[in-house]
Amino acid sequence: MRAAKGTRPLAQRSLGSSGGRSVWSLAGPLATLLLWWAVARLRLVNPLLLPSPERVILAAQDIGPRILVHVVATLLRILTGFVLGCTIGVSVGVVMQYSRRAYVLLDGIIETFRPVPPVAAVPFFILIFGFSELGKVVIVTMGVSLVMAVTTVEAFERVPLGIMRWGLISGLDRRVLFRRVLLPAAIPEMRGGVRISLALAITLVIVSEFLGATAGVGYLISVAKVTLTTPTLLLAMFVLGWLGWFLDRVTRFLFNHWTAWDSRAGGALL
Amino acid sequence: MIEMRAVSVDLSSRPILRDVNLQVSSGELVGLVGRSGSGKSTLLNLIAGLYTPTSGEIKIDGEPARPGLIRGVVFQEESLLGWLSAIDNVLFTARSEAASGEWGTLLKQLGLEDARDDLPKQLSTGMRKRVELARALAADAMYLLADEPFGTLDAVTRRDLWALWKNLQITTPRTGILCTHDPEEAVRLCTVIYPLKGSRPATTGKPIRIPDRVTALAVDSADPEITLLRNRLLSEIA
Repeated sequence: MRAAKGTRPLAQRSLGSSGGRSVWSLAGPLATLLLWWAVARLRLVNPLLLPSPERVILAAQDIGPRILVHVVATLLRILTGFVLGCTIGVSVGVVMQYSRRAYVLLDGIIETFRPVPPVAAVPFFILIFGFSELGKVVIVTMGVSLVMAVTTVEAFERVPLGIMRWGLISGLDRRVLFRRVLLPAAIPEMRGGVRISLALAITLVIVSEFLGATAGVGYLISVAKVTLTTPTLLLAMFVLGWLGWFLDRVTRFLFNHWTAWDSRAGGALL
Repeated sequence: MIEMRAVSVDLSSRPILRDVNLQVSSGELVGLVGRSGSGKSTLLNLIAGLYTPTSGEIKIDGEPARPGLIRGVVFQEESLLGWLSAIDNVLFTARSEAASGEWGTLLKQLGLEDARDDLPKQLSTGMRKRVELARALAADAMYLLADEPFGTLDAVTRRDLWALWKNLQITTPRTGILCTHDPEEAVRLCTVIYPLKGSRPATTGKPIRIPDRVTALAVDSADPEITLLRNRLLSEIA
């Protein structure tokens, strides 16, 4: 009578065992590395613009543990802005869902600002807040909260009809209905929006560090660009890529953990 | 007792139901048979108090219909809370006055004893429907509203659940309405059937009382009277 406890995604099944999948997932980066090494070795591109992988490793050795100072500075800005943005965005979304009047009022405000690319607003915020930490956090918080408010409203609208109908008919107290039924049912629908918000938070922090900072991975990139130390620039890019990958993995892990009950948790088909 | 008198309803200025009259006496399971999109779900939502009629009146034991008055509901669409186990789903809206031992008996009757701690995603569609049925029976001691509850099930599971349903009507009888587009389902499970004629707007036809002899038949028994009643209903709703 019971259904299978879990099914493997189609893409995983077609690649066979988990060992086989690891090999395939490593093949892409290795091929890119090999191509880069070959182009640099054959000097097909000016080495000042495209140094070899060995030069980038040497740059990492030169910087040493100091790079951690930059990573931590960037990470703190991302996390502070992201957490604040999520808190404000989800709260605004919940209020909009809870009250029709609030929805009409806040939707007008959100839709006025949402089409403006958040990156375009960075110079304006620097004018207002200067190069302070507060300015950078406000930029990220604003960008993330706009995305999360829309994500939250849409997540509630996608709560399965059956659950909504049952909750209303059962005559549950409005607060119980919201807190114990609609909110948990909406969480899986927020997954995409949260991951997009995280990517946006990283972008906004880096852009704001380009424009004015004394530490951070974005600062490292902007200095490397001015001094034409391309190995450091590439190193900072990779560090940023790994940081983004790591934060996204943590987000996916947390969502998989919180929404393990959802039959869609654990990976999409493709 | 559930009563609908001269009920009409428009949704977004479109007429959905016109002059609907329906009466469900205590202990009676009334079938409502109509084509897909004829307004069966709207009618059930009216009785559940989700919609207000444009005209006419709906009373549950003399009180105007409102949400929470009838809490025993089962739908075609899935409505279990996926993050709660089967037993927690049942207990979520269970009547507090009932003895805790009652749930054990109910789960046993519905064949859910081994699945009580499973999450909905670990259960088959048929088992999930059983949990929904258990939740409806635990939530309301008097009434049951069912909107195409067996619509998504395969033929074998549907027949199993018909048998279960009939058995439950004997052991834990409820006054209720079963909406279905399947005339045979209504004939086999209900005591009185109202055909829902037309579509947008639809109206109720004359009720058809199912003879006790037919009601007593097993769900897999072939009987010429079942075929006759089924064909009569089909011609009424066509």
